[in-house]
Amino acid sequence: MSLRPWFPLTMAALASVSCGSTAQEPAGVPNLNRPVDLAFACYGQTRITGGNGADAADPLEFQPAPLESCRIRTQDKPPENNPAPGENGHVPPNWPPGQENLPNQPALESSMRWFIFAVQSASGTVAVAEANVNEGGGGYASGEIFVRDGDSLVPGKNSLSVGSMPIAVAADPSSCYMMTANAGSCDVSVIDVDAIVERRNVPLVRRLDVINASGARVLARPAAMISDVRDAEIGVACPANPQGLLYIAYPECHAVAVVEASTGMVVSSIRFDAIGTATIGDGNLSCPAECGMRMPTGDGGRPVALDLVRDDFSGNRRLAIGQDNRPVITVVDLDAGYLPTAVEQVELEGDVGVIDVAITKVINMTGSDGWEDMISPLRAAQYVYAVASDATVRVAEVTTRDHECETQLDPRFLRGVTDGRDFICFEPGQVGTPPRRAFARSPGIQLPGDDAPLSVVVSEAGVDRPSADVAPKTLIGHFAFVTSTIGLTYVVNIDDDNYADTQNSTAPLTTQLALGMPHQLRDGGSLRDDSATTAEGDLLCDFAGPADNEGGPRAESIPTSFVNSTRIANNKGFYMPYLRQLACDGEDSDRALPEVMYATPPIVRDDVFPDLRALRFEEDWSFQWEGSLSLDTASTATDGPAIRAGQVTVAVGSINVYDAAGPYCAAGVMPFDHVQMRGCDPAQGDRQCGLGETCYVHPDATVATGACLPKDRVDQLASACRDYLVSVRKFAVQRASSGHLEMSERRRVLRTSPVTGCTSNEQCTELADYEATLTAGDHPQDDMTPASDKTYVCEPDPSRAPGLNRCQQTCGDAGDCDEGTVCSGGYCLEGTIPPPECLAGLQRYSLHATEAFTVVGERTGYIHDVVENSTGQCVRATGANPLVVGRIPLTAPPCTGDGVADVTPNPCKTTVQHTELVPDYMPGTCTPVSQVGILRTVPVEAIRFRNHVMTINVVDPTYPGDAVCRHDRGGGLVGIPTTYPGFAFGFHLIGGFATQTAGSLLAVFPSRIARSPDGAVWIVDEGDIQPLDGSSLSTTGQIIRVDPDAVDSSAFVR
Amino acid sequence: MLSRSLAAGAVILAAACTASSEDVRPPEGELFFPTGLAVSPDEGVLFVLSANSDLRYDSGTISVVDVETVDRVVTAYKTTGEIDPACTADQESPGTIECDEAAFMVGGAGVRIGNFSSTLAVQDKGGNDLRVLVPVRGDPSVTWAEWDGAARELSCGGGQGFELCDDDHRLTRMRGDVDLPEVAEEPFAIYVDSVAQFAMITHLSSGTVTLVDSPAAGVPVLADAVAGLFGGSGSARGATGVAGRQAGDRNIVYVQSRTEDRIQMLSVARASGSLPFLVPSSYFFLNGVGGAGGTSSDSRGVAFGTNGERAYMINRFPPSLQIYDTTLDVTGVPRNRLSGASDLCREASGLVVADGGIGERAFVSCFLSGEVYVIDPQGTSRVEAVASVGRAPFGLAAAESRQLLFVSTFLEDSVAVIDLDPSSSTFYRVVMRIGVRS
Repeated sequence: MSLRPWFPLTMAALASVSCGSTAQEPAGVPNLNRPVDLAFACYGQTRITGGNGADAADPLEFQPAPLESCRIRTQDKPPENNPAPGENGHVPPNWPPGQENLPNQPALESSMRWFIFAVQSASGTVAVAEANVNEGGGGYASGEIFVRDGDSLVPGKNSLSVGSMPIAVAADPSSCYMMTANAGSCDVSVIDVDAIVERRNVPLVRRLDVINASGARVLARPAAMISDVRDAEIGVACPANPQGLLYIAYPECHAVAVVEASTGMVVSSIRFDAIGTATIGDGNLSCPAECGMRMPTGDGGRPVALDLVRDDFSGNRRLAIGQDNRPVITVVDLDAGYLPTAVEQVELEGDVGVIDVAITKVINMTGSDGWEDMISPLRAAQYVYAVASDATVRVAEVTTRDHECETQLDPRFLRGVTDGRDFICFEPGQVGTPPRRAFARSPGIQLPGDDAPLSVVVSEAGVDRPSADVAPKTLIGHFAFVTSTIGLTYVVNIDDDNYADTQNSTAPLTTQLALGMPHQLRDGGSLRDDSATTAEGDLLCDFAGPADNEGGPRAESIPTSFVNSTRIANNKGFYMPYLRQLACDGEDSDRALPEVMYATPPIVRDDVFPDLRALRFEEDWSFQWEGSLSLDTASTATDGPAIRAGQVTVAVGSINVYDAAGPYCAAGVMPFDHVQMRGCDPAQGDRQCGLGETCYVHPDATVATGACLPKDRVDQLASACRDYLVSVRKFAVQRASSGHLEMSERRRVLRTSPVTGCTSNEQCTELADYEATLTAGDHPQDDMTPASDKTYVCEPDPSRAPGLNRCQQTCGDAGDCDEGTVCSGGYCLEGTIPPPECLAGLQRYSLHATEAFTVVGERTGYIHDVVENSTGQCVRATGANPLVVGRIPLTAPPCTGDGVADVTPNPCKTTVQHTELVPDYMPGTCTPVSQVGILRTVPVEAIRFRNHVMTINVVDPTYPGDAVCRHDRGGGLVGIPTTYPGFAFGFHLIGGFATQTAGSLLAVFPSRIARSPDGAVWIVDEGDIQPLDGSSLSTTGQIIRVDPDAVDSSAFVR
Repeated sequence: MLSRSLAAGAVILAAACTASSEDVRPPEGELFFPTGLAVSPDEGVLFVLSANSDLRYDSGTISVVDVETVDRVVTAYKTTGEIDPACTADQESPGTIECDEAAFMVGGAGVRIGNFSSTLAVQDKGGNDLRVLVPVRGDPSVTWAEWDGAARELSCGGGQGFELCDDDHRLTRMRGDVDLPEVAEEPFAIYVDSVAQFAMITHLSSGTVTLVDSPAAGVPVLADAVAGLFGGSGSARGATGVAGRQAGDRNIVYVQSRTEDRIQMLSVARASGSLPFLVPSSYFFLNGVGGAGGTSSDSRGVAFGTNGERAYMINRFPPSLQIYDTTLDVTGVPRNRLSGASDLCREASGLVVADGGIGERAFVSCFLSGEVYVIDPQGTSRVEAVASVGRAPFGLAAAESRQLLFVSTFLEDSVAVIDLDPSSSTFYRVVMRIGVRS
């Protein structure tokens, strides 16, 4: 090394020359080439003290320095009048021993720089970037981290060729060397950092063979490599060879080799047997060759992921290992020399592998008063976060508990927990472990949608900070950062020291478990504890929530009820089921408020939406009577297309629909659901028909639906298919299997047929008359609706679920039946079985529930617990989570409790207080006193429905009818429904879970995330993207730096 | 063999004179702009499409390469260094031999077809007899030829010797009915289910999917077509890759698009006495990979692994190989859940899944970079190797038992042969070129 006191100036001059010659590139030219890993070096002017204190006579050298040398420089500078050590307010020095500034010498901190070595696998190169070391920490602007030119004689910014398919890079403790593990050549490349930085004309890279204790080369392909994190002396010259140990994972050798970086010698190993059990082995590691002449490999655990922690508080040094073909996390204790001493393993639930791991220090769990340093034995925990092949991030506690942690606890069942330590690590599936969230596919942390985790790192934020106002971007505590396949980096709360650990029942919105429990995706929504009150605390009933989707979950506006005036008079909409309403007495208004609205009391909002994490950010929820089981549109794929297509055949007494793709159990079809044949839309011409077919509408049809018939046989088939063509073509499912629905003709049942079953034909006749009045808007006392001219019989209906009698429409001829139904066998049918030739070719149809509301979230889809049994039949799963429900019938078993955790039976029947706005009639009349009306709270019957998203009470599943005036509820009817197919209510849910992501920049394929010594996280984006429109991101990879203390900002290198 | 410059000269000369049919008849023993490849089920022969992309000749061809001979020559070269007389050491690529393709073709076995074909598929009719089906973009048609396993020759009704397939072997009209539409333009990729005896063809410009009823004992017919499966506008509604999950009556065929991130699943229904028809089933989106919102588009190939429990898909935006878990879930439908992904070269164009002895691997041809990426699906997948193969690699086909991978190099008029033998020092390297590079 040469002594160059004016190094920065010299470098600047060199850089300007360099830029003027070869390294200049037009804006936007990518300098990286799909990086896959990175490591850091520290470089700058160092006083060579030889381990002694600073002396003005000591030489100053520009050279690599241990990472700690730069990390210390990122700390706050002590004030001029710094209190003495031990005194209050003392700030420790932000320079390493012996590296303080001395009079009449250059300020050493000004030359310190980070060098980032990014390995680029496909090209076999390493790109080098650099940035200033910022005193006091803080972030960088993009451009402040930039790529160096590795070869000033070649145009552009060149990377350094290091070997064949390098897959990992690690620094030695002195920062003087970088090592890459090369999968293509089964060796290690050693990069001379000083020579790179100094652009010295010496070999920059040399090969290092990995040699076992017997002297034989290890020719296995590495999948991961890290180095130990031992201290290196600051203020000494670079060693002649790299120091410390390398840990190299060899999947096909089923081992992790512990290798001396200086010699390449394997000095120890961790070996995995066929079931993935680990043992510590010696350095005589024998691996089948994978480079050159490849040797056969055997079965065994495949280690592919490594992380190492050094925790100076607890004194532990541990290596975490993940195997991509075994559901096991391995943790290896290391001694002071970083050699393995003991192994422990934690089994994970399910048949998964592990593709990345990160291990925390020992954390002082719980606490909400800001950063904590001291470790209490009762609160101590050390976690391994493992990216699993089931697209979740698994968590295991590895100090004393040594088991996997359930991260998907359903907060409904945790309201009573008063000690946050209980949350440290519940073991999955054990007695005493609360139930799992209904949507969870494993104990692991699950990313939203189809996103899958790629890499994980743990870090700290808000170190030494006291508590602050709760905000998504205010991080104090321990956090994990998880990159994903769609380019996001999620923040996970490991221990948020700025939020309550348990829920306070009197203030549920300020202590939500989804925000406070460990191992939860961090929510990015603001004002979660906000309520509809003025600054003075007065209630605002009309306030629907803050703008911009802030605040807690709620319906965006009053839920709508879609009423068809041909089925229910416009002024009788209150006969229909709806959501429970609460009386709201506000500063702005008094009103009946649906329970999903923002202005309901916090305890109600907490009951209605008990788990913030379960909610999509926003979503339409619909509740439709006998609605479709599948509502996918052209842009969604959650529960299948609303209109399906398949082959239909006819047999004696049955009509059958087939789909070789086997979608019916997945759609949730159950016996007695119904299928509506959709034919074709004549407005579309023949586009919906097959080759040689035309869309034909029968002249007698009262429904605007055609059917695809062969063009050359329309005249013949019009007659033969007539009854089928003029009906609404609904058929009852008798047997459902995954690829086949066997259906029967479906009878027309009186809409007001009692939900508990009719008792006589006469009752049916009376109820038919009642049904006829539903479309009349008159008060009962004025209603002159003529009696129904239809006839009904009370008996079992073979086309609906057995167990009760229903009022079924009967007939002597077609004129006796309602429109869209046809007379056959004395019954009015909603669809008759036609001759086979009426159904030749592809048929379009839709799937519907019978006698229930279908509950469908626009993004969640229709939820059900139907599975395929061993014979292929669609049946309800035994032992399914009771919240996996998507139907609301009009009657149900009685509820067993009102608590948020009383989830069975579900749905259930109960009585609730319901507030409604009713006319204020003058006594003895049906004349309102005013147009405004009055609020009335009455006990009404309700069906309580819970799914993983919400708890709602559907009031008035059946309406008692009115006696004299509308709304008087004096009709005395019991169990008489008024719903009709197509009736629906719904709302737009907003303020749902919003993931907090790290950084302001999207990545393309962030296959790796790493932590730098200053606590920042670095996202290694391998992704290559070149949009054709040129309007969005175009890179061949990038590196994004995020400071956890400013989690929403970032800087990039491209 | 004509060099590229000679060929250009020939084109100029051809333009200057009136060419006779013999002048523009393609030579039987030559590859020119090779595209699609398919290996016979017994791995005895390799069918190679020559697309005639510069219209040097009056037609494209299906050539038949004797894989056994290739295997023998490769093995001899690898084990003893012996170079077959038809070959020379490739001066540009040490460890590779470059061979005259004519020496490896089954004499008199090829046929002539229309221009601009890019893919082909082989239907196993049993008894060593095969049917080769080719979507031909130039006609457009679905052209088919019968492979007589005993005689070792293709035939497609055009008479003796390097015949041009006749109209009966060019399916251009739905059901052969003049009242029904012609086959959609730009037929692109093809999948054949030998068990259920059908073929499915995607169309690059319209997004149409065409069904060919292909009874082993009968004559293929364009049975059905479905349009409008994918979004897009005008001619940019392309359907691209197509593959079936598992051959047979319950096969589910996955179709990709270049204009949408949708994967459309289709099945085939058969009613007795009538032609089969397509049944569009559910679909899913490639939402799992891709920055800036999580969409992947411009899908260019799909293939299934063993037992249909894993689907491999290549996308150009962003360049990625995505692996989907297609095992059946508790409801009996494929999960279709992303289980792995790897960053990939730009302009990926072909995909094949094969096991050369160390487990299933996906091989992706990279048209732009002249490489073949090898992806190991273990874990969540990783790039295992990147092999340089030559200019514009396109089609791929594997002879697994022989541990050979064939890659057509479109701009080099040759087929590269990659060694899949893991115990070989030339593992994942090109060991032979069938055809001297132009």
